[in-house]
Amino acid sequence: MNNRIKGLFVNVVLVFLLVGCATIKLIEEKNVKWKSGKFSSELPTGWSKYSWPGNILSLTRDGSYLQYIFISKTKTNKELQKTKKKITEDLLLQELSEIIKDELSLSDGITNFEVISQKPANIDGIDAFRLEYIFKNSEMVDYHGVVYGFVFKKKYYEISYCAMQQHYHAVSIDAFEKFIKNFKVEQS
Amino acid sequence: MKRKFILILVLFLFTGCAPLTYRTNSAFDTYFKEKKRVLVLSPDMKIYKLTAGGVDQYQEDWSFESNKYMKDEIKSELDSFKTIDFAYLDTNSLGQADKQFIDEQKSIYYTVASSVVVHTYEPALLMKHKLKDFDYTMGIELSEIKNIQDAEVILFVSGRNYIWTAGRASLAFLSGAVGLFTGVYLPVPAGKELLAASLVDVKTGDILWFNYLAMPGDMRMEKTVRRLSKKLFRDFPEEWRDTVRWELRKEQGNE
Amino acid sequence: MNKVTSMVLILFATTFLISCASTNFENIENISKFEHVEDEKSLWKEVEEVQKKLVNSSAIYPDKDLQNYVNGVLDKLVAGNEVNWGADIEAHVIYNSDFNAAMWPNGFMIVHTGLLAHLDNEAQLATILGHELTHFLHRHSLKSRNKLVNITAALGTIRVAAVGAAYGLAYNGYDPSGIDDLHNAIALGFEGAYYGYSRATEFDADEGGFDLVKERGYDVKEAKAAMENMLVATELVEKKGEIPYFYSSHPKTKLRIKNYSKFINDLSKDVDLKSTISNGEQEYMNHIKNMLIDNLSLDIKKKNIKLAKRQIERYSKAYSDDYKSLYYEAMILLREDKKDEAIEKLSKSKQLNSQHPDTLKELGVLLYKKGDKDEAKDNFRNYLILQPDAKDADFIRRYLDE
Repeated sequence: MNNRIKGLFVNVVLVFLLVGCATIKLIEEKNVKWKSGKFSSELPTGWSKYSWPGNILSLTRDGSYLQYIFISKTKTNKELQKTKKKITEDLLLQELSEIIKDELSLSDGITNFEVISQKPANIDGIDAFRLEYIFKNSEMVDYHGVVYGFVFKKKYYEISYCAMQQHYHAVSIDAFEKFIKNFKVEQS
Repeated sequence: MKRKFILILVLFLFTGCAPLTYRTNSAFDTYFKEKKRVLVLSPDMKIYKLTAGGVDQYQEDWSFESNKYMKDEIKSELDSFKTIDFAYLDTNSLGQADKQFIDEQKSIYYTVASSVVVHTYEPALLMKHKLKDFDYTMGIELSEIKNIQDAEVILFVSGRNYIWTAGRASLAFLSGAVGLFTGVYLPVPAGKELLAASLVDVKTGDILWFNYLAMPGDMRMEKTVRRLSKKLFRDFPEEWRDTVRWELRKEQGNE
Repeated sequence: MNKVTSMVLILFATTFLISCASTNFENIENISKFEHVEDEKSLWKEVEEVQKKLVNSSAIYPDKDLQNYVNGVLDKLVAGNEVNWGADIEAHVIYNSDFNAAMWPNGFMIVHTGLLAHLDNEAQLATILGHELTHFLHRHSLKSRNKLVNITAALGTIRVAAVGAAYGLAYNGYDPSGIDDLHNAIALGFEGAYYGYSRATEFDADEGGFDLVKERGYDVKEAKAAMENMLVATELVEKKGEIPYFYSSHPKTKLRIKNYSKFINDLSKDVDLKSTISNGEQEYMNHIKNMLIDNLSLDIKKKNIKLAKRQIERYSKAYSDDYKSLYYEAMILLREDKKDEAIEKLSKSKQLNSQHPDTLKELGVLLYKKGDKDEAKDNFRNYLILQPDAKDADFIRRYLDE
């Protein structure tokens, strides 16, 4: 086989690798430890890890239409999309939670937004808020969400969870709260 | 080196994209050994015109006809099973609250079904463990449907067709001809056509069986709908079938 | 031109012609017995599913009195004719602060709270409703959709033709690079035609709406005033990045106001412009009172400060200064980062009503951040007395525990 055809096969194999396979990875006992920058935790076994633009971490057990856990970050002092409010370091935790609550309530495709609880929380010694809410999507399916938000080293981080209310919230929330409990922040 | 490349290619072709169209959970193989009452929700067949410029236009009359054929064919198909007792859910006779419950459950079904398609059919986000151990559910909340109509299983069927207009067909021909001469081919894509069906256990909400046929063909035609409905249930164990009725069913459409 | 070239041109022309859909339909108001025209029944059916979900969602503003009032005005315009129109004409007030209303092809109308918040009276509301009703009566949705079919078919055909033409030029030794520019220019022309058609239907709806308002006896000068309110409201929106007019589906509001002036002038030559129905200003303001507050709080959330200010001025003028207007003035000041002024307003609001939980909480937070922790805690305590089960009670308790 000449070099040109060999090259073609290489390209075909690469395409399969990129498109066909292994962009979503099952979490088993051997790969539960997760670390990214200053953050680490234990991933829930039986869930899967995948890439999502803009997220530090994306997890799902049955598919992101049914449940997901995301970790995302936003720069402080940058206008948020819907409320045009800025997350600044001098904000009280309660104010921060109000901003995120308002931002969520104005999200596209969300209707019947309702807060279940809005409380202070703690992520490995860092002051955070915990916002729990419900909403319906554009197909009028009920969803349940929880957001832990905190400011760390001039950035705002969000560990968010969302699951379809029917069945999937009940089977997913414990895994999320365990992930939060094991969440560590390297503060040095 | 050459052999290695061919081997990898063959492996990907045969292991990465297995062409089985149906998925079943662990309960399915023995599920219909005993008689079960199946509640069939009205098929959700939607047929669109797809214009030269890619605008899709829903066609009520075509969809109505397709739904009618699918309803008849499902009846014929399920009739050929000795362990399936079925009834259609007549939503016209339901009160507002019951209609709302059914609509909600349909939306929930479509959400779960979308996950099934993305994670057990599409290569990009395939969850191999879900393929091996198919485990999707709508949840036990579905069992409330027994208050509306008694059943042990629900059958959901949905289909989408995008029928090209004469203009689109002509444009595709022209595009092909221009491509042939110039080497530059501008694709005229088809719409996302499909036929999907699921059996869902009412008590647990578990999806027992899910079948998904991409590009099914023109579902405005009774002949096509008959062929498809046979294909949907083709892989069901033969011991569940009533021999006589099954032979008759197999003959249907072959005349 | 040789035979091959002629054949190719004929093929392209045929492709375009067979792709075309009609935009020439009789207006619904002109037919004695309503019947669907081609594809219209399917279009109505298609939108019904989406509408079913909308009416069951929180997008619908939860004020039955207001919904009934708006439909009452609509009924005056419809004047019992819907039996001949083959549709249930119904308006739904949507909780959305954008100045907007829309008519779906089957008679389902939506009117945003952001529109109602900026009108002055029933006559102006009737103008907007009349405009939307004309979209239904003149089958604009169907016509626009078919126009889109035609334009996109043309664009698709031209794209393929451009490839062929470029190849043909190159084959014959000519420079084909100009084809790309020509293709883009033609494509732009077609796109412009689509948006131009959309603007034309808006002008048509303006005229139809004006006629309806006139026929039902409303003061036609209020039709122009409605447009003027729309101009003010849309100019107050702090938006980044305007869509170029070329791509605008709506005519410029100033042009529409000019048109209304012309309608009024032309009419005044033939008839006395005296209205037979009252503008209904007081009744209108009574019906929108609660909605005005809710809508302006949405604008504050979205940082549409100028719009929020306009609404709070209207509220204060119509309902006199009360604790609510002071509270929302404070919220606006907060969005402008004027914390001390906000504290002043909230204190005044508290003097008028010391039992408003939101005033107490906001005042508490501001004083807490300022360092007046004792006074802040007083407000927090009173907030918790009024709302012990508040969703954010744990935050407030944390301040008190410090």
